[in-house]
Amino acid sequence: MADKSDFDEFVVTRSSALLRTAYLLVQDEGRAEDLLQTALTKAWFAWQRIEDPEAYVRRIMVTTSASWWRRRWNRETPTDQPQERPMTAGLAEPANAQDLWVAIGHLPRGQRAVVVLRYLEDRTEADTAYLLGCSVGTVKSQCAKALAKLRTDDALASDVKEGSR
Amino acid sequence: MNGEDLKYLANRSEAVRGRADQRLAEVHARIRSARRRRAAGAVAATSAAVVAIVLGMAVLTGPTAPNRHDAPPPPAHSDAPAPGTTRKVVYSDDLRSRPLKTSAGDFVANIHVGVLHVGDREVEIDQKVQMVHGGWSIVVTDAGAVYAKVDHTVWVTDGRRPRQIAQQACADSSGDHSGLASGTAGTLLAWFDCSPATRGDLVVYDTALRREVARHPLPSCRSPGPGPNAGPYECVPDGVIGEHVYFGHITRAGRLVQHEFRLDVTSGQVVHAGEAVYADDLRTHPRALVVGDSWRAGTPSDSGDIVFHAVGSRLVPDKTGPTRVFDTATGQRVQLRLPAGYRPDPAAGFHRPGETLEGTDTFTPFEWLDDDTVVLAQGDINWVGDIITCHLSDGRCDLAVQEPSHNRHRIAPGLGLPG
Repeated sequence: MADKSDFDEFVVTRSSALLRTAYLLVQDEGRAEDLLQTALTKAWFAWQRIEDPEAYVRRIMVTTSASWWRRRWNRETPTDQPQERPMTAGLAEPANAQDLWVAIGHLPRGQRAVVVLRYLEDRTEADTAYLLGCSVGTVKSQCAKALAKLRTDDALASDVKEGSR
Repeated sequence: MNGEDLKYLANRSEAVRGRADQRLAEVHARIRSARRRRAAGAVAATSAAVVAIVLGMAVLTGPTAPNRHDAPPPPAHSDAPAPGTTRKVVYSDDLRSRPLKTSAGDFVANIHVGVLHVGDREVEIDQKVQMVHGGWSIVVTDAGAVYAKVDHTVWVTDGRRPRQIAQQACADSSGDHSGLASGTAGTLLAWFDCSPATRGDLVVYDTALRREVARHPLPSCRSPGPGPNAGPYECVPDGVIGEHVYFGHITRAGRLVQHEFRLDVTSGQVVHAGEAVYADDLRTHPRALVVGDSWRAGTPSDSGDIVFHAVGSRLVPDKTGPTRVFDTATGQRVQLRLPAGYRPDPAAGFHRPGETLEGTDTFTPFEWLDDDTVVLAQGDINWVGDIITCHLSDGRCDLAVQEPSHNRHRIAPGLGLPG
């Protein structure tokens, strides 16, 4: 059980890591900050009954990002302008990375969450299932569907064609 | 998709910092706000139970006339896209202008706004404001201040270098109406498109997402504005509450009929609205004040319609009208007190030697920082002095920005320009 006096310390020490997960989930820095703060605020009210605060906050972020999308952002319109994103210092961008980033953004939120947790955060199926509040079987099936979608996504299709020449 | 791509994407997130330095404070502000809403909800639920018992007894004992003013307010709700974000105080002390000499006297005209203050940041916005009898064409969202230039471009700044977000909006700084609308909470912004091909489209832009989230063609809004001071447009957005964007039209006489229609951003539906609908919407969202005998019967406002007067250390609404004010977030009565030891400067504001200004003891709300904090400007219709922030929950006010020197003008969003 977490002590409420630990909350501030948790925010200071763990929020940078949590923000990275939020960013991968929503692909926008401003939205990621908002998602993280929303999750932390919700966590504060449950703080004294939380066994594992970090897992709890991650889970809230996953469910909240999905509910935001259902409630509001299903009216997103496609744009030719790629979203601005932070540059990773000292790391050359692989040729397909930007396309993959765009393609991940096209996934339904549930599948995107699975890809983020399983492949980008390198979590186990069991850990991913716990964070998503679903069974390992659901994680496996969502993973398979997500990968199938990514393989046929337009953003990656051109690379496949080019690569096949 | 290969391991190298995935590693890169995972590492990309390493560069994301967000608002690390403010995060803890912002989370606690959200917690306070949520606690107040929960408390209001609990009060409403308890009171509803009491009301149910009383009504049940009334059925048994005969008819009574319920006092609608006794009913507790329902908890206000917020469906703003970025709940709890703390805004920054926006104003400018950097006005460069030349007096315009006419047969009727000298007027301030062609104001050039240089440095804009966004919290403790300063940014050069280089905005020319041609007319001085309207408000300053700038609005505030959770993601920063937004302003239009005379060439119909629209810009946003959070204190850093401004970004252009629209090329040809029906918005500028030459008319009575700026053509931009935002809410006291959230990141939504609205304007009408003035591009030849899409003129009359009502555009809703999310300043945090940095993209349009709705576009609604309105053929009846395609005509140019009718009056010389109306600007080049027929329709004007004039309010954003949660996911609702309100707009009206300018009559042949040049008068703006406000809040005539409402676009629901989520459903994409446009419906007739009107002042009563707008008022009800205000009343059920945080970040508005209700002046009157009760939260339910009073008149809600989210802007400079309410003027507070300093009476001793208290701030009370217009001396000639109702003196009670309620917070729409909680339904609780608001009783604001000036900062301890603070006395409004009777010689505040830009003025020429020997000139006396009216309104040194009046304060007008012009911005909300969060659900509990409203920003008020000392001054009258044509000038702004001290800027204070007030907390609705405990009534405490603090001096946020000292008045500028007496030879400088200050302007704030939603308030009148000098002249």
